[in-house]
Amino acid sequence: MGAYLMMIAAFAVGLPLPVVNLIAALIYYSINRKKGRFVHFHCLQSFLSQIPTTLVNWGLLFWALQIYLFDNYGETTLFFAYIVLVIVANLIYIIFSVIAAVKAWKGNFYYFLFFGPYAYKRVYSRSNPLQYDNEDNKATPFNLNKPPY
Amino acid sequence: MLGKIQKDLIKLLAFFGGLFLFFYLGFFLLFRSSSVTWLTSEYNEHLFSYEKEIQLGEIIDRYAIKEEEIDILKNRPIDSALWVISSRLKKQIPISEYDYKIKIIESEMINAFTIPGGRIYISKELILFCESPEQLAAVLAHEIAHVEKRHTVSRILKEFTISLLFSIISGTDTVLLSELWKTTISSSFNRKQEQESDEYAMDLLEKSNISPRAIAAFFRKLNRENLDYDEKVEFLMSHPHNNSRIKRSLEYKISNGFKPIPFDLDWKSIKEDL
Repeated sequence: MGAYLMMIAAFAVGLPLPVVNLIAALIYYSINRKKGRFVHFHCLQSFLSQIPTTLVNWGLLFWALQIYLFDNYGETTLFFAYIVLVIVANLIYIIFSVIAAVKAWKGNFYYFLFFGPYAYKRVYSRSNPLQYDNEDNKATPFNLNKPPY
Repeated sequence: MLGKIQKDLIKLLAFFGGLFLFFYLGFFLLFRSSSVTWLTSEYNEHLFSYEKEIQLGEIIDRYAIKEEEIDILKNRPIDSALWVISSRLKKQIPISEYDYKIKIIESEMINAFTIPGGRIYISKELILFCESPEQLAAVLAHEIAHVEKRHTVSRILKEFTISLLFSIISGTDTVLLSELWKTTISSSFNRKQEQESDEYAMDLLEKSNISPRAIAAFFRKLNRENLDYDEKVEFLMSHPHNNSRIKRSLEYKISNGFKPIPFDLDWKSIKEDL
C-alpha cells in the first residue's frame, strides 16, 4: 500500500518537474522488493504504471516549454487535446492507485490492465531469482491468488 | 499468458489513443467556426483589445517618466526630422490602430524599444550612431513592425501569466507598473518575432521608397565599431546575429521599379544640434 500512497505524494511534489515521482518509485521499489513476493508485486506494478504517466507528463512539459520559450505553437487544437489526455491519464492513474493501495492494505491482489499480469508474471514465475526475506529458498508458494486469466 | 499481456497493452493504447483522437476531433469541431486560434497572436489580440493596449501604454509611459525618471529629449530639429521620417513610413502602413508616439530619451546606450500602444523610444546615442536618416528609418520600421505585429502585447501576456502563476506580483500598483516597465524594456522578443519584424521592416522600407539595405548598413556599422552584445547595444541582445541580419537584408529582393527617394534632411547638422 505504501508504494501507491508514496507515489501519489511524490507525484504531487514532482508536478512542476515530473521526475521526482519516478526516482521515488525506483528507490522505494529497490528497497522493498525483497520483503516478500506480495510486496514485490505491488511495488513493481506501482513503478511500472508510473512510467507511461511520467512520460506523458514530460511530453506536456516539453510542449509547454516549446510554446513559452520559442513560441513554437504547433497546432493548438492538438495541444489542447493533449492537455485533456494528460489530465485524464493522471486522474485514471490516481484513482486506480488509490484502489490498489486499499486492496494491498487489505492484503489482496489488484491487477491493473497490462501492468498487473506483467508484474505478476515477473514476480511469481519460477525464473524469478530473487531471494525473499519471508520465504525459505526451496518452497515457492504457488497457491497464492492467480491473476484473472 | 504473454498473449494476454500483449492484448492488454493493445487495449490500453487503443483506449488512450482513442481518447486523444476523440478530444482532438472534439476541439477541432468546436473551434472550427471561431476565427481565433488559441494562444497565438490572434488570440492575444482577441484577449487584449487595442483600446486596452493604448491605455496601458499611456499608463506605463506616465509611470516611466515620473518614477523611473527617464529624460525625454526635446529638440526641434531632430523632432521634425523624426516626424518627416516616421510620417513617410506611417503612410505605407495599410490600416493602423495606433497613433504612434515616438520619443527620444537621454541614454548612453544605443537603444530603441517599444511599449504597448504604439509608443516607441529611441535613445539619443542611437541617433548619433546612425549615419543617415535612412538608417534611423530602418530602426524605426523595425520597431513599428513590433507594434503592428503586437509583439509587445504577447510578451507582456506571456510574462505575466507566468508571473501570476508563481505569485510574483504582490498586488500594489507601483510594483505592478515597475514590473511591467522592466518587462517591456529588459525582456526581449524571441528570434521568430525578430525575424518577422525584420521582414516587415524591409517591406515597409521598400514601400516608403527607402532602401531596405539600410538595415544592412546599420548592422555593418555596428560590426565595424566592434560593439559587442554586452557592451553598449542593449536592444540587440536577443536579436538574430548581426551577420545573418546583414545577409538577409542584402538578399531581400527589391522590386524592379524601386527608386529610393532620399530624405531632404541635413543629417549632419541635426546630429550636431543634439
